[in-house]
Amino acid sequence: MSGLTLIASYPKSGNTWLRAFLASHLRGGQPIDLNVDLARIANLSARILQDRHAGLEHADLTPQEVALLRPLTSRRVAHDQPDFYKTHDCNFVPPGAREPAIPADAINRVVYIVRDPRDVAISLAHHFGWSVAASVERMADSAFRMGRSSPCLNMNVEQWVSSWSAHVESWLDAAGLRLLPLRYEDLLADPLQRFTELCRFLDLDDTRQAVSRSLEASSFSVLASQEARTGFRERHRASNAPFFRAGGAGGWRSGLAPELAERLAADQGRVMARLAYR
Amino acid sequence: MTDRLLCGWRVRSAVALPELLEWQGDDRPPDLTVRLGAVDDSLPGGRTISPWLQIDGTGTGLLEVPMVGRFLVQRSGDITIAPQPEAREAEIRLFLLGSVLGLVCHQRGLLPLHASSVVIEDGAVAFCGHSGMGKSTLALRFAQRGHAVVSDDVCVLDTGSPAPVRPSFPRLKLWRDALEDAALPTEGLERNRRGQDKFHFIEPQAGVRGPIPLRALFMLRRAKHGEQEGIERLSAPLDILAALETGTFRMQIGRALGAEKALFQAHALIAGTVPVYTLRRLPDAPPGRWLDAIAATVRG
Repeated sequence: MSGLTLIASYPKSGNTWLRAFLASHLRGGQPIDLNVDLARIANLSARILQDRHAGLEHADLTPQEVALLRPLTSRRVAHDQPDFYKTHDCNFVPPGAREPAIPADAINRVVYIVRDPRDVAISLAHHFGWSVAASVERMADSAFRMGRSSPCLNMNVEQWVSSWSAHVESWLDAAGLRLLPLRYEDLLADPLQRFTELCRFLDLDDTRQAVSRSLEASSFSVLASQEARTGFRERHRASNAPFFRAGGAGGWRSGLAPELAERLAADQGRVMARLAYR
Repeated sequence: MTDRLLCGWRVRSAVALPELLEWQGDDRPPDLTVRLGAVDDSLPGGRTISPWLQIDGTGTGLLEVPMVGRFLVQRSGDITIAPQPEAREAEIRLFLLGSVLGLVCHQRGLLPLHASSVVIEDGAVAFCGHSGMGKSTLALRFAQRGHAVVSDDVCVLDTGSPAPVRPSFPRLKLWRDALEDAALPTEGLERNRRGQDKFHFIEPQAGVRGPIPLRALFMLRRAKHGEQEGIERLSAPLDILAALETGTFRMQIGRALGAEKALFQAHALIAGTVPVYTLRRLPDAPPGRWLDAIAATVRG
């Protein structure tokens, strides 16, 4: 394998579920320890990884310099440490940069997960400890970044996420990528079929028995009960709920105020329609 | 402008370097000369070592930081800086006394560790680790207890035996929260980069001039989920060598300059003569918690 194999998504769209599945699947469907084995599919923007391949400390760079540097570093990671990585980066060119953070020539293939933005809004609010209204606003913000260091160092470098719609289209409409789009709702509705497609796309064991075993090891109930027992290191400090909170689809119908659902439809309606989120 | 002292070198610089002690040594010619001037954007015959650094066959390096400038670093000790018009002096010094210092060390066959260090029991005790592991914060806490600061990001060692530390300067780079935790105001401090919540704090205690022995090395680690905090002495030579390789500042430059063998020997010498510990801490551990334990460990 050469190049980066990306599990890409807007935050809170099912990325960790896929990582948990792959963490198990790459080890023959064995049970996983959330706090150890998810590292098998590391965050591409992890500071230690970026510093090592860039040959300098991102903590000494401005956000604009980070945006200029990231594509160069992505190519070095692709060359020197090709593997599976998760990312929340938008695939458009960030403001002030010349290329996307992960240029197409550094990418082997991409699994892109998309989830109904009305469910994302609720999940995002719990994850970051924001109000749902703040989530809805943030999802429309083309300047949304993660990984900012203030007032202390963030363990990731800066990622330009942009708005939900821009994020989705930046990946789904990208030219020249081998990309498998997956809707979170479809993964839930028919996991065996969809994860089999995933395995086929990634040249992994796609036999029914193997896929079923890895699905079992990464099921919501397994992950949630493990988090309840041992905690989860990737849970955000400001979070007001477990990381594995609900894990369903359509929670917005009862959990999202109508005016916020309308606001999302107004902000993201065109892209929602493309993905049949009605 | 007065010449300055850096790692035992006499430095003559067109850029003011208030972090550095004044040169009080003999009247030798400068070891390092820093000038401002034009620098081409590429180095003829240069190889790309990392995205913004090229090195040519003579060992000359060219570092370009987009919003700061270009630094041409020759083995002779001539350093030419072409700053970006908007670059601030603190930003130029940040890279001159960081990345460029690391390159100079590799050019001269010295061992730069990615470490802060302070004086404890007449020797240097170094805290080595990635960004965010608390190197500078530990140095600050020891400084507040009256320990002199030997280095911040780059701790320079001679490769002879026993390996002495060449003191660099008593400037610490600290995030706002680390300064506030230590009850230090950020007013009046220079920012590491424009708009950044990281500041340059010059430790008011006098720095250290001459070489001092390395007493101990602490590799700073984050306690992983379920791991205990604590200090543990590394005993297996391979563990120590691996830790030292990871802790070497800009190891890839050393390799590019053909110094891999010399660096390995320097690591082996430290492994055989200096105690190396891991200090494992939880991400939210109070910075002051381990000071007594570190000092006690060093004293033995």
